[in-house]
Amino acid sequence: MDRDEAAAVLRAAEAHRETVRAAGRWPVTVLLALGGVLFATEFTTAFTSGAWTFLPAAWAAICAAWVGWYASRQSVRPRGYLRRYSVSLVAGMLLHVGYVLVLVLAGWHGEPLVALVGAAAVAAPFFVGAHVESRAA
Amino acid sequence: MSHPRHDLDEIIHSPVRMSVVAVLSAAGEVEFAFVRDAVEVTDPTLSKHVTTLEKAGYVEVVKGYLGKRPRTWLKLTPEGHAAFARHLAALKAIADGAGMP
Repeated sequence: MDRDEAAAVLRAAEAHRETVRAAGRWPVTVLLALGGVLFATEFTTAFTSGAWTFLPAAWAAICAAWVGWYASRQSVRPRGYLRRYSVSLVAGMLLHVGYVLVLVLAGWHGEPLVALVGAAAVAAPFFVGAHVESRAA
Repeated sequence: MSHPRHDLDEIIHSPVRMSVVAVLSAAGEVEFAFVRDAVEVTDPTLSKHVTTLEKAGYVEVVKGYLGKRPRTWLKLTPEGHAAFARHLAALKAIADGAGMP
């Protein structure tokens, strides 16, 4: 094998790796979708009560079902993505519990600024996760 | 000083297997059909090369189902990653002209 052959093999290998990396970036879409839907869900939660609470909860449930369906159709599973996804999910759920407790205990239900900040805080781990995932090799 | 070609991995050196390992090295697990399309070979050809890589301990084959449809996933083992890294280093050394008079 000469220098040119070796260089050609290296270029071909890198092209293959880039193809797989591109196909393995689907968790970015999932995390962005979850972040967006959860932002809308959490914001709306601050203005709903009683049976109406099921409306934003339904958006989150539909999005979660879509995530499961979308993930099952992918052909590439990036290395360590489940661990990174779990970190975003656990952080988001903990922030959701904290946000709901603040709304209820502090009596800030219906406050637009609290709703905006709370929704952004709950969605943040998913957007951060999407950013991290987009940079993962 | 020995020529870097001596460090090339005999198993990975085959063009198809090199492509398969390159594809698998960039992800945790990749579906058989994706690898077949990326490497541009037929199912039997890929199966044959995957068997060789599996026997060498470089690739692990994981069988699963999506509904009732069977799906086969391929993943590079730690030994496979290490062998691929050594192979790439040898190729880079050759491309850089190491060991040349």
